[in-house]
Amino acid sequence: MNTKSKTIDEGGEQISRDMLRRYLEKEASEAEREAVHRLLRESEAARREYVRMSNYLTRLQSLPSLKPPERVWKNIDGRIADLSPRRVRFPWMYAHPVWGWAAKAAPIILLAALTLGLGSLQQMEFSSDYVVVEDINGFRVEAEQYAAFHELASESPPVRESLLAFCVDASFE
Amino acid sequence: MEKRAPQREDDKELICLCQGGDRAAFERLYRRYAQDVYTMAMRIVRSVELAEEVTQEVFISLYRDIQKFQFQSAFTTWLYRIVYRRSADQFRKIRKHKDHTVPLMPDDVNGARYEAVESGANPADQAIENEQQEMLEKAMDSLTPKQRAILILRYTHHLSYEEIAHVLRCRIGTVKSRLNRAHKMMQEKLNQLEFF
Repeated sequence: MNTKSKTIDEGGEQISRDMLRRYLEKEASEAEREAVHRLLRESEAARREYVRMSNYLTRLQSLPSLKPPERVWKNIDGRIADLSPRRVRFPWMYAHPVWGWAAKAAPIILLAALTLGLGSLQQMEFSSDYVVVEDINGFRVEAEQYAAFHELASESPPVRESLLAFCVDASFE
Repeated sequence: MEKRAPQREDDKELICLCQGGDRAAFERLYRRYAQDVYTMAMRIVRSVELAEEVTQEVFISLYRDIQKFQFQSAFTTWLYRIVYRRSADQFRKIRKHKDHTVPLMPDDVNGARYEAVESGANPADQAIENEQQEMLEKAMDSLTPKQRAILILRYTHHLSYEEIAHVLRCRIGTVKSRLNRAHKMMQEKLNQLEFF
């Protein structure tokens, strides 16, 4: 057996470590599982390799957890003493990556809209979102609760409606 | 492998208290997750000093920005993303100053400064375990920080491919191919060390 090769060869039969790993992690295809079973029945080299791979994965999963020294907390505690959590003005922006991207893309879209002379961008964008809310009106109550929880009442009607549409779309579908 | 880290039921309450600025709750949050954060940082940056610095920066950043967490994903996934980014920042700083690849300090990982949590095995088994663990640590030195991060997220923190992709901001296919490459490199090194 050549331990440095990626496959273990015995009598023309080969078993790759990659396939064994996928087998042990329950990610192998049906054909691969069959091949592993057959090799485990017929090949001593494959059985040895199976034990080695199994041991490797077990060891990898049981690498010890490390405890930070107490001075780490003391340093953190000292540094946060004068800090307070940053107040997030628009928490919904962090509720889903889409909102973060949308916020970043908004100036570009606005600029593009102005450049192209699409003066009625607000009406066009938000009216389509509004339709989504109306179409699945059964979820209106949940959406309103979401809006109340996240204090969206103070937002302008188009923004609020688009948020409701998003939350209906993302959470309740 | 479908083993997953258990979700802690009272995380939400603790995080809400932290979002309200409760420092005692924040200390509890630190006690709960410090080991996970430090372990991940240590295995990526491979140095006690850097791992301590990363851990501090992660928790200070967490304290300041905790209101940004809106419970849309698992807290741990969000936390590991911060750890990964802070570890990457440390690497960038070192590269900038030393104009080289990151110096690895295996003694920090394998030697006396490695303050591991007791495993409770009997002495004979512990000796074999220690020897094999040392080989694994050496093999991990041959990986890139990103490959080490993937191995840790997968086998220490038991994240799914999807969660790892979320932490590293890449595709699931990329995670799988990087993981395959990491295993191959580990196995090549472990062959040299006669682990296999």
